Amino acid sequence: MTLIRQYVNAMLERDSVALSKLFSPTGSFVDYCPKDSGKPQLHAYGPEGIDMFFRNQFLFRKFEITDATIISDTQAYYYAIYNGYHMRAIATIQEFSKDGEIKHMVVRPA
Amino acid sequence: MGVYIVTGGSGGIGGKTVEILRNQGHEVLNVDLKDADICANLATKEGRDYVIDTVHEMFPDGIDGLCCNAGVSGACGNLKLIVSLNYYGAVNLAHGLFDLLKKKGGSCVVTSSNTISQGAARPDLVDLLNYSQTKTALSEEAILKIVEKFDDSNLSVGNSIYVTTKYALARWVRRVSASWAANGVRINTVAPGNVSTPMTATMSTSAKAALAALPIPINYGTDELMNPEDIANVIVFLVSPLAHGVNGNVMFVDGGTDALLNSEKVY
Repeated sequence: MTLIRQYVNAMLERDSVALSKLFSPTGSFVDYCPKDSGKPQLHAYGPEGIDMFFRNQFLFRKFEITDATIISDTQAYYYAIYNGYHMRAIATIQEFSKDGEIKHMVVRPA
Repeated sequence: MGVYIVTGGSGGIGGKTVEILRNQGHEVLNVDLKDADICANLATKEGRDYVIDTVHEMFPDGIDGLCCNAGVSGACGNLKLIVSLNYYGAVNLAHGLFDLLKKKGGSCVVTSSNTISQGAARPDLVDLLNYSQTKTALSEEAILKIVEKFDDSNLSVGNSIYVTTKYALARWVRRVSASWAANGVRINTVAPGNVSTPMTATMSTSAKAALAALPIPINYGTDELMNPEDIANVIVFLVSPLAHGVNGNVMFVDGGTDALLNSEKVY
């Protein structure tokens, strides 16, 4: 299964641990979509940070995704919901680590 | 050695603050509902006035520090108590003891909460509280009448009121800090994360589940909350002359939770 598929699955299942394991030790996640609603972008760094960050987001239902479509080995479209604010988003694995993990994941409005 | 007043010093963060200050050789007066040097209910005007009068009688030459730590959680089930103790119990006491702090160039530290950065505060109520120091503003009683209309059986309402009081406290500290410092009195606030205290020990199961959603990076991989002494050590530092350059600061002492959830908010 491709990394982008595993990423989407983890997001859909709201599984912060599974999500965190996709990232390299220096991996980062940046989501610029909240800026469209006047909020700062989301940023999480490192597997442990990504686990804790999304544990909070998922448990309080601050964030979830629906209707994902994988369009390549590195990209997926989905609807992202930020505290009730819906946005069409595109997630892109911009860089892989040499061990094949996600080094840099960027999500932007689509 | 100095004279320090600590509220809520019978346990938790306040208790550790008292212990550390006493171990440093200071004279410390614990103000709390029970098991204290001065037993008083800081949720009431009478209780606050009693403490203010007593401290003036005991230390007419001034005090070196005031640590306003007394408070209840959002899960206590009493919304009026959250407002009257968490906010007025700190702000009105600090105003009432300001002259004694000024006499010795003292310092004040108020305990807020790292939840202030998580967007649950009610801005309307924060404004009402912060403007309540003016003559034309709503009185404490009037604000409590507003609060008593809310649903106190709803945990999220309790949490929102709790965060509101802590946000208002932090903003009050920032607002008065320049003027106070110009009069020789520094004032700062600490914003603790979830701490293992008598307050958190009595929380409901659902409230404890909510705590788990606020990870503490320094305790990653465990279910442990912050230790009270982690917070108390910072309070003792801030109230001491070592922190002479720190004023009007909201210092997050949460093991990195705020940085985790709000890394993009540098200021």
